[in-house]
Amino acid sequence: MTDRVTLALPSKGALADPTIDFLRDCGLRVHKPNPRQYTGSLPAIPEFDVLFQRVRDVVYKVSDGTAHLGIAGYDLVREHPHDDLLVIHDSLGYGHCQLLVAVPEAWVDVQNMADLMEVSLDFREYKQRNIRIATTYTNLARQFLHSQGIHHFTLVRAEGAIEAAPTLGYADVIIDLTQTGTTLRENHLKTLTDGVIIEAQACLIGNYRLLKHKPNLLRAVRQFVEYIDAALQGKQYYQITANMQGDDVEQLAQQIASNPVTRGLQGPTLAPIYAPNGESNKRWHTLTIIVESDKLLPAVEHLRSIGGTQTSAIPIRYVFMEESPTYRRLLQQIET
Amino acid sequence: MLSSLSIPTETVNNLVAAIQHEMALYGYQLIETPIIAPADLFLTRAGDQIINKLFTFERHGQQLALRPEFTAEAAYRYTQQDAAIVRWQFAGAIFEDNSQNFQRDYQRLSIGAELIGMSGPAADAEIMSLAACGLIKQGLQHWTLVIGHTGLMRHLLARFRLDTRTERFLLSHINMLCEQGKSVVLEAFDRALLDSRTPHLAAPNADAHLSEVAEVSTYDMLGILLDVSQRNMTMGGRTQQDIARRLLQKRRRLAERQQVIDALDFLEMWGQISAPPDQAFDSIASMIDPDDTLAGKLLDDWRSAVQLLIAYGIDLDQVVIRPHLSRNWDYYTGIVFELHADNGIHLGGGGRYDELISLVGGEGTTPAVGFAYYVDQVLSCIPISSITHPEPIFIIVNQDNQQIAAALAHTLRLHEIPVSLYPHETASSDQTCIIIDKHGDIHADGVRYTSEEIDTLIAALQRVHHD
Repeated sequence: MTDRVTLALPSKGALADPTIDFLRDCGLRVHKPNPRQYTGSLPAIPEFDVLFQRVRDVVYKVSDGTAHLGIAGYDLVREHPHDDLLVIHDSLGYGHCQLLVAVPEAWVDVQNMADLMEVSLDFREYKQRNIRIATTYTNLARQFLHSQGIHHFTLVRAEGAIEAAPTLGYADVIIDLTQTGTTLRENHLKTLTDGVIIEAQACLIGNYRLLKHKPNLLRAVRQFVEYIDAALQGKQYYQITANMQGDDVEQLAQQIASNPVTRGLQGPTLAPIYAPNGESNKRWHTLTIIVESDKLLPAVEHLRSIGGTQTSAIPIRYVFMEESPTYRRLLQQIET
Repeated sequence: MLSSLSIPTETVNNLVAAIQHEMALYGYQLIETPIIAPADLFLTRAGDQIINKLFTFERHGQQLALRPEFTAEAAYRYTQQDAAIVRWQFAGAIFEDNSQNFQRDYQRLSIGAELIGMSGPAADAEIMSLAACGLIKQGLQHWTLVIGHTGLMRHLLARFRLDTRTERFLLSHINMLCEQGKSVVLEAFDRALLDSRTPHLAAPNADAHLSEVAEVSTYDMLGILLDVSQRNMTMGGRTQQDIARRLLQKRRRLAERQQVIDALDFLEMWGQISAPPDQAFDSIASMIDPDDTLAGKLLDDWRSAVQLLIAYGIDLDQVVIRPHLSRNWDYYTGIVFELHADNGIHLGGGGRYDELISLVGGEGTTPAVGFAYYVDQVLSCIPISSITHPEPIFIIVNQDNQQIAAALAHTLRLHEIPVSLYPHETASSDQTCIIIDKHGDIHADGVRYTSEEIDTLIAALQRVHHD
């Protein structure tokens, strides 16, 4: 019997839909037969079963071995570390956010963590109580506060609408996730210059014990991470096709490669263009080259300057390298 | 209990028992303290290094910690009893969370002693000598007792009239000062306690700017705050006055910067002293104003405590006075000391902590001094035989002789002869082995004993055992 791989995915919350979209863009469409059902499948890899869970439970399920793999926010992985929890890919490129400390805007004397440390001492000295900090991330918050010299504080565990805590009066300061900072500003809170605890985004996690001791699973896992790596790699590039004019094809190739943005992964490809009557038109060539997404326009400009025209660019869906770097790292992790 | 599993438990137990015996000779009573206690107890005066490794967790909304040491719990226990002077000793696991470094050694064994309710050089000397003699008796040969004085250092620093947070900052950076110099500490100070993003603060002409800053009136600041409150913004548990007070405090600290530089000059000289007692005390005396009677008394007491060590048989050639010696706990108020093996291993240390009792609920100031050893470090420096109990004699047991074997083993044990029962196939040939034949006769070391000759057997085994 073939071993099956259980992939836990967020069922609701900010990461739920983006995760489905991300996997679809990787060529890993998730099939969910019924919106109310908590299971699904990945038609591209038949050995995979999909389990939909609250995002925090995704971390728990992978930690305890109920699921082999999962996608969750890196913030939650750091908040709930486990000996069996492996981070296989820490930056899937979506769900970006920061876990940070925010204080009331009215605290004009507080700009950084050193200020907050002093204010925490003021609370003890003048108000005979600890400064109260509302957060869901009690572990990361406690570690960070201690590392900043803030030792006397009371963490108020809260779920949702944490930004309102100082206004409602049950906390003085908050530690929470933010994507744009808009909600913080709307609640008259401000961030501190050195108050970012972690920068997080969606990450791929796995259960160390299961992956180490069930090598049969690794073939399917490899397929999964190959798709992800190739798709993430592909997002970084465009493929350019242009008609290039020049008498000497080698000289033309040198001109193209002389600019780093049009050097391509291995170098430019040039092919002859044939006239409509089938005769070779020695002055025209078709260039095919891969360029980095953020260098598309400089690349087009350079090609124009050396006689290029009718340039077309298409996004690349996959770039498969000689091996999947994520899979290689995974093997190293489970071998140690 | 030890981080290193390679050390036999018997060796550890022997060392612990020997040290406990030594402490008992000084009148220290063995006390148990809880492994788990409210984290606040340890946070009260722990240094940052300790707090970063404090093993904490939450239970029913309360933050708890695994004890990182014994002193704070001893201080709390003292407040819960009536005796004026107590001598207590402790032994057990202490914990630190090294998970950030991917270490899994959370637990180590420590032995400590606390003398609470007694002040003066006699108490200081007693604890220091107990720390040193406790290990000398166990065979420690090459060691150094390094002694500093947090109380005198703080007193001398007080003349610079720094606010408490600046003073705390400087004291916690004294090692950085000795190792990396004044400018690095000053930079760190600007970064941590002043607003380093304001270029004028770090600029050499900061003085010129001070007058300008001073012109920023309290009313201006209050105006800003008033504006804030009119916009109906949250204040998060602080009032306008709280914020205004702190703004003023920050500006006052700006004016203190020259005092900070002067204090660093003093601490830099202070940090250079590390010498045998006579030489070091002369250097320290030269840094004390003759009119400063309190500093003079602190130094005299310190000298007396060190002189008293001679009476305890401690050679002062093995004592180094290093006045800036700082330990990882902020509760020390007087002498502090550390015991080092000559290979640099830190065996233990302690000091005087006269404020801690009141901070954990006691009334008034209670003198207290104590120390602790790190047993794993001590074991790496002391030659102790790993096996002290005699090897047991084996009696080979099978289904036919179980009754006789058990009865014989019991009889031998009554005569203090260690015995283990083993099935034939696992008995080691290296050890004395007793075989009971099918007639019930006993064979040991090639001699046969009948059931009437047990006493002869016992006598023979006792001779072997004692040899």
